[in-house]
Amino acid sequence: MTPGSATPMTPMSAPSYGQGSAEPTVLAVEALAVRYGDMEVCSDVSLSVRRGEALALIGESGSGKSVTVLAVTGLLGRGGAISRGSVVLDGEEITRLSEKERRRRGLFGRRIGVIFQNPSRALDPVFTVGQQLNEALSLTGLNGREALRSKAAEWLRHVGLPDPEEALDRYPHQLSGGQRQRAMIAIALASEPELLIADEPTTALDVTIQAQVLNLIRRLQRELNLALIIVTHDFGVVAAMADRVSVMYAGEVVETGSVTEIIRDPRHPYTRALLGSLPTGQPGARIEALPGSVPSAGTMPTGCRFHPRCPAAVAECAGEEPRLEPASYGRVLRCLRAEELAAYDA
Amino acid sequence: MTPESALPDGALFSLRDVSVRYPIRRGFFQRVVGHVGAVEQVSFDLMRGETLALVGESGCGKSTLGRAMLRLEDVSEGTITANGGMSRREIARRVQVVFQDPLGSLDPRWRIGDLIGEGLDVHGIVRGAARNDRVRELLSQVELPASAFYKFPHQLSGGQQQRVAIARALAMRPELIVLDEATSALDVSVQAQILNLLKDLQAEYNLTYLFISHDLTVVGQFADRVAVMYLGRIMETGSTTEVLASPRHPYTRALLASSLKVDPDARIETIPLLTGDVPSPRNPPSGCRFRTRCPLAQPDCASLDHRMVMAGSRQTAACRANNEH
Repeated sequence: MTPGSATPMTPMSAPSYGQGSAEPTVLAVEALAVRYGDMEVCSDVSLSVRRGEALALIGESGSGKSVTVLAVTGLLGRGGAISRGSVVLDGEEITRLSEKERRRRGLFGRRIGVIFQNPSRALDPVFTVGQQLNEALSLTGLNGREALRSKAAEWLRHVGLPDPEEALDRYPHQLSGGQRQRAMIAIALASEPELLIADEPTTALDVTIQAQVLNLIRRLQRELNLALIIVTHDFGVVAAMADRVSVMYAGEVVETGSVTEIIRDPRHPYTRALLGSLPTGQPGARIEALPGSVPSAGTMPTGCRFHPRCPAAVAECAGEEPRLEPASYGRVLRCLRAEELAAYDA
Repeated sequence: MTPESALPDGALFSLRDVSVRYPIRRGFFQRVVGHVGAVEQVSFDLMRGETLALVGESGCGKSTLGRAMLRLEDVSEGTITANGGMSRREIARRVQVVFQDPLGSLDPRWRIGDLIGEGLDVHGIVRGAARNDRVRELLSQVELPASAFYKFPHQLSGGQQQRVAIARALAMRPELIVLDEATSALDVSVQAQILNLLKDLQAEYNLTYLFISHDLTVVGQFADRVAVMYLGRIMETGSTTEVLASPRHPYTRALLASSLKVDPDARIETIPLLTGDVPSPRNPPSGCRFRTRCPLAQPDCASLDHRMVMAGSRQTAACRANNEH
């Protein structure tokens, strides 16, 4: 069912991510650009995730992180199209497949599982949880009423829903927010995907429930050795969940590194500013607020997209577009002054 | 009826055993068959110039309590005493609110200038050219360009819309502003700008804030005092530094432990988990309301009466695990 899963990925050209892990790359996105009509909403996104690894994609609203997810899953919708770059899943080029072809290759729900932010919108209100789980289970080739029902109940038990047998016959509105998110996780994983994408999975939940759900996602990811992409705007979620982090700004990835590197030693001025603008919890202290806001697709600045807000910008930042490339100290980032700023820090 | 007690020194509002209950109606005649206690027996004093944070999970009653302060909800039991007039018209001027979703609270067909000036017009505070001057002054106080005057809400970014909501509140020269999750929907860099702006305005006008939030890091930075709520009751209240650095009630401890830290060593596997969901306020547990999820619960917690225990400068709900009865 998964041709090419054994074939090693073609080595990625310039930026080498990873840290020498032997696990195969499940998803590689290279220089991806997405357009809606004549608006380019995503311009240069490169990221990769290996089996068993959790990659966090962090950015503010308008950074293009959700569009990247839609492009990977083929859910861009009317008017949206990938205009440049490539998406490779398990060594298979899936950038420009028709909807029919995507369905045939199991790219809708079967090989890529998705958990959305709002479980009440992602679940169908007129079908029971059991019926929606069966749909996912039947994608794996499982048949027969009894087999489906016991497997579905097993999944609900696995995600920690109380009374799984009873929950199968419940409609989404009969569950609490946290339970709905658990049900959605069960549905996303029931088709045994290779890649799980969680798009702001806990933004709508309370902190105690958020901890439960994130713990569950991490546990299942470990058990099933899944590649996980977690899309978020919350550095707390990144610190708790990610092995590696890609930071996005205005439709581009601006820095990629391990979770410790990004949080303890951010190098791109945007990553630094973003971390600097977090409340520290120190009473009365002023926060270093980053001035301005993320530019919209229609009004992108020339040169480096961050230069109008960047405290380290110089004249040439307005003219030349930096590329995402490894600096001498090993970090992959998009900044003309990467070397200069590192020398200044030292 | 509780007799109205005199306000403590420096207090702007004083709440004594305040409960807000909603009727549950059933059947064809919408008969009242019970009540949901959204807020139960809450007491605190709100001091002039301070920021008091109300924190808790959804459904804990923090927003209802904020609405009660605004007199948008009727108090079923207990008293809210104010320093000064308490008539509906007085309160409408003295207490203002900023909600979470700025676009939802600004009429899309109104221009920014009229949105900010609405309160001035309604209360007849200033008219004509003076009114427009006052609106422009407010725009500059919230650091918006004067050109925003003739724009519509959708033409502004989320952070700018929230600034308009703040200017609207400021226009009435209020004493208290209820900030109901006012920065929760904003991106972190914009949230930082708004928090700094609110701090500056507070220092300049000696404003009092009731800061309703679920984000403990923001609260730690922004608030002077904090009240932690669970299922309509206050579980712990005291100075922010004290409560957040050394939480005393098991619920406060659990809430703090569950909130994620920006520290790569604080992995999700290391976070202690609370089991289950918040119970429905229609049918709250007897005794201590936290006992169904409390890791330290004992059988006799079911018979524990809610009352606040003084512990140093803070108050904590009585707890068997803290040897209180």
